[in-house]
Amino acid sequence: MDRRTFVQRTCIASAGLLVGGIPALGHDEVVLPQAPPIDVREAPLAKKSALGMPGLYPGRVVELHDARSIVGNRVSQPVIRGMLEQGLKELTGESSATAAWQKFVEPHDVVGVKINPSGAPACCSSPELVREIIGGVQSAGVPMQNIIVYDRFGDEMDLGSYQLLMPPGVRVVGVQANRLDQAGYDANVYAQVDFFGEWETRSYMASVVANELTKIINVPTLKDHSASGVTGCLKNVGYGTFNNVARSHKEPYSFTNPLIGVLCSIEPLRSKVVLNIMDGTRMVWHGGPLTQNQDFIYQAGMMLVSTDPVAMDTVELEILENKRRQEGAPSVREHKASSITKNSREFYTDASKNLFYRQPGHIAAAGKLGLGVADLKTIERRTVEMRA
Amino acid sequence: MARFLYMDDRTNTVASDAGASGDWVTLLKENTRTGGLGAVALESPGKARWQMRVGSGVRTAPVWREGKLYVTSMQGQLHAINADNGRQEWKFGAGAEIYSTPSLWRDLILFGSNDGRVYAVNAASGTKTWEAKTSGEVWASPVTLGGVTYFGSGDGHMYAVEASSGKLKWKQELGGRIHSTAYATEKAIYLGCGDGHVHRLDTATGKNVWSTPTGNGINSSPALVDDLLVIGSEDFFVYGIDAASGTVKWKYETGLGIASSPAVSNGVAVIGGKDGYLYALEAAAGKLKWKARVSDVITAPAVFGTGVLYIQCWGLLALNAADGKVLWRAGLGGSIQGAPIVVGKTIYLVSGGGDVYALE
Repeated sequence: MDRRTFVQRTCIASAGLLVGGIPALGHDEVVLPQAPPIDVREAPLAKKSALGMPGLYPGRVVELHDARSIVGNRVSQPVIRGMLEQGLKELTGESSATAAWQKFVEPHDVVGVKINPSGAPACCSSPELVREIIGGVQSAGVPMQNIIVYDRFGDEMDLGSYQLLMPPGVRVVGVQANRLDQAGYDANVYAQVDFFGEWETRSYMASVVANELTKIINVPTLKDHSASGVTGCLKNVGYGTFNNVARSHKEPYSFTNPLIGVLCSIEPLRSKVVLNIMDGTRMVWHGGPLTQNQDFIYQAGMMLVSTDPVAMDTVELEILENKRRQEGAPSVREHKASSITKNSREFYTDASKNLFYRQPGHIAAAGKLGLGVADLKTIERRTVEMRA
Repeated sequence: MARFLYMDDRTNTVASDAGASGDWVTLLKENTRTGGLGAVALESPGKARWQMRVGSGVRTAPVWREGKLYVTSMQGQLHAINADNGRQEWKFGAGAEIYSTPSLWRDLILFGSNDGRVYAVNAASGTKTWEAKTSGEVWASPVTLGGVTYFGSGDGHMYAVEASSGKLKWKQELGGRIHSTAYATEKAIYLGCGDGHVHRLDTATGKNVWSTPTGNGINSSPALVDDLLVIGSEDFFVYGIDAASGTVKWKYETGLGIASSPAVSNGVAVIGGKDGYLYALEAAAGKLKWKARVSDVITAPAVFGTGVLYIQCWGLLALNAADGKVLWRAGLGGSIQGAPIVVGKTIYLVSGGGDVYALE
């Protein structure tokens, strides 16, 4: 039986753009084009999961701080372990980390750990954190061979040495061996939209996600993004699961809003993402997602834990905006023509310059799609200061 | 055509050629990482004599013997290419992607694959002579000494098999994945491991003699300089370790993790860091001679020529080995684990995208 559906999300997508995309026009502010409608073909699960986005604890974000988690640019795995365990207990109310893990994964699950290797080696999901997550998933009874660390790009994973640094038995999967490799995608699950007259107007879901994994632990980094404003939970799991997504931004315009949220809403991805653990040991406050410039990488010593990707990205955006203000950089919401450059070298060395008009409104748009809570005032933000 | 000329007696390798019976004791044959060939100082290449494509991606370095280049690819193929005209003579299909740089022993080409197997392929016919199975990916390059081939696997074991048949002699479990290519001597096998340790195993039995911890996993393949082992770690340090005892004699801090392997010539070890710097250290004391920033990231091994150092990062660079000054650059596509082969006045180069060039 074909239980796939073909849904046009025109109205939602447009609403998303209006919610988050265009600020009030000021001096030098430009009017941005409206996003076209996006069609979706998805593969809903037979039984909808209560664990899927926004998950068991909508609107709750645990924010942990421990300066000892990164010293001299080296991440401390024992400190990370303590932060992760505390974060999970705080999120779930359980008295042990193992009990907390058991709320999200079961022994029969095939668990994907969606890392963010773009930006490796200077800033990517720390292998130390990924190892601790693997240990946690195992503690809930999931066998090692049922744990898959994945991303789209094998070459970026190589730069992060993930294959070597994961325990034996864990599978490490780069969906694409190179930029043109399309073999790892499911032809029946996709989003279709024509942004700029591109030849290929579809973005397909990775087969490993569509057909193999039963749960996903999302491990983004705390990072700005030249097109979407932030690289957070939503972008990591949306753009890191579907192919052909870079077409959504063509200098200086970006339609990452609303594409990011729409991709995250497509089943079965939406139902499979059960937990988000943001690596904030390093914070890229300018030059993301790929910068290697240490001038813009702050050793923040943070971790965020939530089931709600929209709430977490909302908090992340607030943290990044504060840091940018502190550093004298303009808001990622700013849309001034004078801030745009076509010179990537200038972008990578000058925090006042950018390649695109950034679109952080994708977070609010994802909230409109029901993926989580986007209002900072209603988010339950629990801050934990770790002590020795 | 030049053949098998170069041997630096400070490198502790057994003097031999890479042809009929030569041992191949570590990645790209020996400490200089030349792939068994003598490399001479060259000027910037002026033209490509030929170029061809072996598929969609390459994560390894090519090797050369008797007028043939051998290249492994991410499409799971071993390609034999006529070095004179760039024509493919044969190709052999493994079961999965290949991250293992091939090595040569007698008439066999040896390499590992993501299907967990090490293959031995006949150089003349391109047919399989034997295969040895493990339970994890094999990214290390097999090394052969005294008729025994040694390699590590992602299943956390080090293996020793008969080089002529692939029959298992011993296997030894370690604490993590093994991507580091071993350095083999008559008494000891040295390697780094994903568990963060440098290990010395007994060559005959595989028994662990010593294990020295570093602060993170080890991708790097060691070089042995007199009685000192030089190796990099993902913990940002380059280590000089006493080969007999495992005692750390010195360590040198770089700016990020290290996945590259040291090349050693005339007592100088050169290694690249993920911070984009190439570091030249006095191997005996770990003292910095020079460092040069040549890229955003370096993960490939350097290759020594006479007075010249080659490194593939986002293109090919030649540096003065004495001071690290860049002599020339040839931007023909990036590479993550590539290393050039220099034969006479020809440089053979494979890009990460899978293009093979003969440059003159």
